[in-house]
Amino acid sequence: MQLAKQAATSPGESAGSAARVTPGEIRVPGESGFWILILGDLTAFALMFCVFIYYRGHDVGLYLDSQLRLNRAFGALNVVLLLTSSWCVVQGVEAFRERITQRARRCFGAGFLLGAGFVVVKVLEYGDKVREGIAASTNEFFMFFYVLTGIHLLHLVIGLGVLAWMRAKSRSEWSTHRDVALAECGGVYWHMVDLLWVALFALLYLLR
Amino acid sequence: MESGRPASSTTTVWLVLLVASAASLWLGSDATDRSHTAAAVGVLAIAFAKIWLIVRYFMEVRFAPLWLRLSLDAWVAGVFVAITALYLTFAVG
Repeated sequence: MQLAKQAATSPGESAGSAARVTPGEIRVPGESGFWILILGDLTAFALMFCVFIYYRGHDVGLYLDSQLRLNRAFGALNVVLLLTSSWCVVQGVEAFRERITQRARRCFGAGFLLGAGFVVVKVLEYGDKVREGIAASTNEFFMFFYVLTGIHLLHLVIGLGVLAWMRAKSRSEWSTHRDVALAECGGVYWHMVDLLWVALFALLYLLR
Repeated sequence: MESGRPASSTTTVWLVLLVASAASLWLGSDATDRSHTAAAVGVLAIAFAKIWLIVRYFMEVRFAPLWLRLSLDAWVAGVFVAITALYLTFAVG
């Protein structure tokens, strides 16, 4: 989309060329098969969200009281960290496609650091809860809290590995179409981690 | 390096997402206790509007084939409707 004003791909260019995209072109970001994985993961989370709301409805008071023991500042800070990290990764994928390697590396590096910041905040938050004697066994709300945020954190840590790979890959000026497609898949995965946190923040921290 | 237009559109979306996050934080705060059902639905609406923007602009689904655009639109709308319906049915205390 965007980029590549002159889609001037010379006849000999193919395997070693950057994946240029013409404006307005209809195309699958990344690989089609990867989207099946993303849609499956999104569906699994959607079911967990619905189960949470369903159980919440059977003991609203407990959920509201328990929610007050969460630190919204931690949750909100993590929203900002992940949204900003996602934005950096968008810029990184753009630069990667354009073969602006240094910019791609900087953007993926910044995205990684912001994502790592999320982990630090999460560890601080879990630490606070443990010091207060709050565990998954405390009550149903905190069982959901630890399970949902824990599964999300696992996804995020995998995403950090992907971002580190993307940063390393962007060192080369000779990215192939496949490299670009893989970088786009990495970006899509990272944005999924971001949007899942947007939903979790609303459900766990904000919904009264 | 003339990637001005797309970069600026995603930057605008990022700023909108930050403002929307601040708005949902305000809506979800106890200061708006007077009608907490409306506030809760507002929180959910803002969250799923943000998710839709992330899907469209960050994941670049706005340039994707119809099947993918429809699948993700259906996910966003379906989950929003399901959660809101469950909330209104069971959780309004």
